[in-house]
Amino acid sequence: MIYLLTASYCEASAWIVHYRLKKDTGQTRFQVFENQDAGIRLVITGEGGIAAAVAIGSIGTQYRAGAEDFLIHIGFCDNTLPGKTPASALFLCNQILEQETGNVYYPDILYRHPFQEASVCSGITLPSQVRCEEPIRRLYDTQAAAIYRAGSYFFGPHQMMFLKVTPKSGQTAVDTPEAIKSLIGIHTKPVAAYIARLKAAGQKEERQEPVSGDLLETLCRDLYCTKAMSLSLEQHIRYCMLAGIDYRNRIDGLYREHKLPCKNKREGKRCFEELKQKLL
Amino acid sequence: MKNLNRNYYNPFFSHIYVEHEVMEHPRARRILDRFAGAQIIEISHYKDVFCRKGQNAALQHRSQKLIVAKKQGSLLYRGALPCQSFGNEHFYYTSCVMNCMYHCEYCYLKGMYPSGNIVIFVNLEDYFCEARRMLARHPVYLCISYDTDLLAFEHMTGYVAEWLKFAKDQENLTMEIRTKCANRGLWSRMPAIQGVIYAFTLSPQAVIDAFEYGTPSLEQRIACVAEAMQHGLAVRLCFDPMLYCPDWELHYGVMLEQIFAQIPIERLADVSVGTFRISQDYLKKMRRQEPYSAIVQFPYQNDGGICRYPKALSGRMEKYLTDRLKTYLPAEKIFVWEQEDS
Repeated sequence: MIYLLTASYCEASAWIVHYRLKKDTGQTRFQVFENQDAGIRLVITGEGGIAAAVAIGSIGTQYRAGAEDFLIHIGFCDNTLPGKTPASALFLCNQILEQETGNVYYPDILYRHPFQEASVCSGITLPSQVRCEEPIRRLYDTQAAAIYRAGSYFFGPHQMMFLKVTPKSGQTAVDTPEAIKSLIGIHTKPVAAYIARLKAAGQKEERQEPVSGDLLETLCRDLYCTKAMSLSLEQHIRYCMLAGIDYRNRIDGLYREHKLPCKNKREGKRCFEELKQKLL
Repeated sequence: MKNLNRNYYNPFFSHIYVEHEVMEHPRARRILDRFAGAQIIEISHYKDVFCRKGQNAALQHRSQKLIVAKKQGSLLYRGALPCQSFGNEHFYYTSCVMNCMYHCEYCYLKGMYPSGNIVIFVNLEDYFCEARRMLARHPVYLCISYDTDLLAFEHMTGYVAEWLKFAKDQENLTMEIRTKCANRGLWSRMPAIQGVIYAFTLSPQAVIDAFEYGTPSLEQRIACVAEAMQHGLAVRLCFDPMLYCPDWELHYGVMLEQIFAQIPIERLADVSVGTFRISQDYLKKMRRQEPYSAIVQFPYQNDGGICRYPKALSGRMEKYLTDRLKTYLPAEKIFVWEQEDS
């Protein structure tokens, strides 16, 4: 599942339309839109770091976000980078500086992307209020650091992406929802292509569950296994499956020879040792 | 069929994280110049990137990043218990590069480091200084390529050449450079220096194919060994780790035949033999990260915190190899790893 996070509805609307997301009316704290078939769930967190962190805590727990999921924060921010940017740009953040603590967070940039990269300074102080003699070389936002920190409870650094949309140079105040919506909308296509790539990369390879629970349970019962013996047996069978060893035939052999099921613990221990040797 | 999966990932070293303090260091500049197209990200300390919580080293191996930094604190460490000391009393190792560009499924680095990225430390002089201090007290057997494959990075770093320059003037130093690299072009630039041993890890081709991704083939490694010996370099062969697989005897037998046919084995400095073993803590972490790896999921026997094959199996494997080697080499040149009683 891809979790899209935006602060406001105007930042979300382009994705709601693009992915045909439907509002989950069961959600009362935050607005959640989703399309299960597309594997997209969008959460509108509200402004600021605290709201974003609470939203992540809520959805992460509720939906059990985990190893195959991605968290993508898409937000609008002022263009504070030096140099001329003739049109609206989209940046993937490779570094997040938390204003309040000075801590720096680094999302992994493992996957190919077509965007420019930038560092983002995240906190409550606006760039115009930052006293700095050097030219500002960062983007500024209020949520990225909080999202990274809260997201770390559910996602690894390779699963969190931070996309920031900026207006063209000099256009430092874009204050109407319509203007923001329109700026975000410009980047729908490349972001959607990026999301499609992430989904494809994140797809879990179809693997057979290494050890069949029923088989193990029966075998442990027939061998009078202690907890330690059960774990050892499970490890042996897991290895056999992965190494392509025909363990079922070897186990069946013991049943055919009437060594299994065992009559008591002592016999079980002896048979357990024999089985381990046969499996390797 | 081509693996399209690879297209999802950024190329290797697409991003280079550089500590602010070493940004202008000549060695850092050399690395950055080599990867002119890389995205450079300035950091304050390498651990901010290398030691992040929740990293997936297996995925990071598909798009490894470089971290260029200055190493502080201890620079030389005592040899670890699972490592072969070759009878040296003062056995140390050092890591001026952390992590490896090869991707061996069984490698302990996956259990040791929290990240799959590579750290290159540029303050080699500090390493030399600490080694000199130690050499003033006693002879030192120093392994410089344990937590990486330094020769595989030589085109990027030139660190082996720098260590050789250092070793040339040290009387009491024995230095081992362990590698799976097969870059034969390096030897013309590597002078033969007393006390420097090039240790090649050799595995049967079946093992290389199954577990040692991205490493040179056995044929290439043997050719590289032969050429190093022609250049008069002291060479050690490491059949360590020996890995269990179905038909291991056949595979190791074929490998030995290939080696005996191409390498004047009697001229080797020595050989090392040891079946796979690993610290229980590293294995625990690797099992979580690689649930589908047969070699990691093997039901090893835990002997005092070191996980290894059952004694009967490891004994059989080691005996097979040492018996074959003894027909060519005196017993004192064959080192078999044995666990010390704790």
